Amino acid sequence: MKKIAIFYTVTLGIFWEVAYVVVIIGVGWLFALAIQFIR
Amino acid sequence: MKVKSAFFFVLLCLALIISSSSCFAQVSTSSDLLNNAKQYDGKTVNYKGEIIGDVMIRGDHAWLHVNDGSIAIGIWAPKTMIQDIGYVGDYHKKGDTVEVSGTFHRSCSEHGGDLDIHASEIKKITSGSSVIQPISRKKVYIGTFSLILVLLFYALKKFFQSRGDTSRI
Amino acid sequence: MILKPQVSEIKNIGYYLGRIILGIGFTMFLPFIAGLILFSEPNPALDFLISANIAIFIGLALSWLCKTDRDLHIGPAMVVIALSWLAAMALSAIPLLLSGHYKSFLDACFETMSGFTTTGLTLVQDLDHLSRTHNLWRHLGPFIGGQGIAIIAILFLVRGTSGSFNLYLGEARDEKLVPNVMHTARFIWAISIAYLILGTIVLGLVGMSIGLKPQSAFFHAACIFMAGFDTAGFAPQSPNILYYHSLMFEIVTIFFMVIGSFNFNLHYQIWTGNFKEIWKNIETRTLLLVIMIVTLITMAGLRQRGVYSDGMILFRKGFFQIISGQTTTGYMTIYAQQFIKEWGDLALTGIIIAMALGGCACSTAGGIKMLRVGIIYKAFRQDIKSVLLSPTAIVVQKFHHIKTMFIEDKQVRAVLIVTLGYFFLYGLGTLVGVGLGYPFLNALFESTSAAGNVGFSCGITDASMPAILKVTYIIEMWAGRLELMSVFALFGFFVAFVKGR
Repeated sequence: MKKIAIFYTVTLGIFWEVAYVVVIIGVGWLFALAIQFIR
Repeated sequence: MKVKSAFFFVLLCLALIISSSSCFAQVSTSSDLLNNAKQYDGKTVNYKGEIIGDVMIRGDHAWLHVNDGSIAIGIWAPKTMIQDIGYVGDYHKKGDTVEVSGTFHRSCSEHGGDLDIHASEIKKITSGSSVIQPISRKKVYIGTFSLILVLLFYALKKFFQSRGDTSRI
Repeated sequence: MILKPQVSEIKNIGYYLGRIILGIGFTMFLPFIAGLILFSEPNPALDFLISANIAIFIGLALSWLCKTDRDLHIGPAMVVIALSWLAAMALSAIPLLLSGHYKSFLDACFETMSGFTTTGLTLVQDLDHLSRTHNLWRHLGPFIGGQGIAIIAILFLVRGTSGSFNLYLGEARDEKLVPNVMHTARFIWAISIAYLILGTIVLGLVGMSIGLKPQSAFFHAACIFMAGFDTAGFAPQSPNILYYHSLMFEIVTIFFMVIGSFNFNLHYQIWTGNFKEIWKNIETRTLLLVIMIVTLITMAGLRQRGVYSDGMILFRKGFFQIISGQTTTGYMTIYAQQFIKEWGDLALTGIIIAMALGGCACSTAGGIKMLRVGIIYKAFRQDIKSVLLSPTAIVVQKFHHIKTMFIEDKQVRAVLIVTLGYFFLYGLGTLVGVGLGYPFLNALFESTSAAGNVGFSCGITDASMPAILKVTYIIEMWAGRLELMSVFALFGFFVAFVKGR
């Protein structure tokens, strides 16, 4: 039971870390698109 | 009349000779291409070197890398052009030396800005070969000898430490 | 009055140094076994057998000669750390030198120091013909050094918790994840191994989908993961990440670079259920903000020069390099010369700022670190506020790092001193570079890359560069990784030895 709980928490943890990187990539992607239209 | 046709005949021969020998005339080095990337961008270049790494097949094309001793440049070629490739260079093998003719891109829009050459022709200059590495006797001796030394030393250390337990430190 | 170090203190240092050297020797058995069994490369494997034996012998001899039960205080611990990184550099260079792919022992030492400090600047010759065994060692260096060389010793070879803790501190890890340093060390390794397995599988599958054969795909995957997660920047082939010509590969790599630059404490919090920390933490917030600013500067520079034509290219060439620089990884999807030839000064300035500031504290990333940048910013705010408000008002500034804390002068002072230390390092390398004839921006770029443990090269790092510059960069990488303190401790120790009474 405890092992499943740990596995579940760790998986969720990885998910949140991945989510943060998705935000970063989103920022980069947006900037790359936007900067084309400026100038 | 005869002089004219003779003249044209000589001209034709000359043209044939020149065109066949200068088929791959100017070979650019990788430093040349890198340092003058803007000038070469979009132009046809000739590049020569050894195929290294992996040939990555993607659909009906493939990526290969040709290293001319300085850097390795990515070559994007149709699958049909890579059929003759025998050896691809790594630790065990020396790769085929090829001469690639194709369009150079400083920042290829098809490939996310990669610096590459879209090959229109790949000519094998020399075949690669297997680089046979016999096991170095010297290394085997030194390796085994040093291992024995270490084990002996460890045994010695343990012996002295167990004997002079209280007196040592 | 400086006190000369006692014999017992020297013995103390020697003992712990010996244990760490022993640990390094044992790790060399990994490539030995891999070379023999996995890669069928007996000669390279033998290089590692020989080198392992040398290291084990020295380690055994040192710890026997200097056997002591005395516990290790913080000062001597820092000396141990500084020395053991030098020892690791030299001993690990032996197998690389034996490979024949390095022009000199200095070059091999440069490589191993670059690996352990997770920098990634490389002096290898003919990388595309290097054996997998030797290449594996190149990539294992960051994996070992990133987590911490001393941590290996803490886990297996050292007794006594206070000594262990001081070793841990000396390696610029000033955050205790859990009260027991052994458990902290174990957690750091557990998370690294967990991500190693996940990362190798994911990258291996991506590798196969882009045309690599399975054996090749997984070898590349393991190497790229180790050098990516540990923010090093070594790659198995000479074109670095450009070799793969794959957006998918680059995106997965971005994930590992960013996650690898996280504070291990942050990982611990998130993996134990404190998910909110990822948004509340000063470092993740500072990192996001800094990335936005740096991206703006760099992309403006690229646009100004007209280097890259469309959004996708700006992302894969511009943004990839930005993230690689910010996390101090140093992976490149362009050739080194293109930085100087094509990017232009503004874009390069953006990258230099990213490299200088770096990743999170207590991680494998380098640079000044986001925690310090965040604290400096908060301290600035506090000072500006107190100037603007009434003289009798008391201004307090809070920040959140696992717990919510107040900015304290003592803390700000420590942060500023280390930050200044980094600027000193960046400047020192630039000075040496310029002195040797390199252009200013190039020298600044390369120096920041070395001291920030990034690994980007604009072309200066090359086997033909002057030996004095190689030594300068080695010192910069070493001092940068240890956040200067341990290096100063070692220096102080020698001064005390010479001048003390």
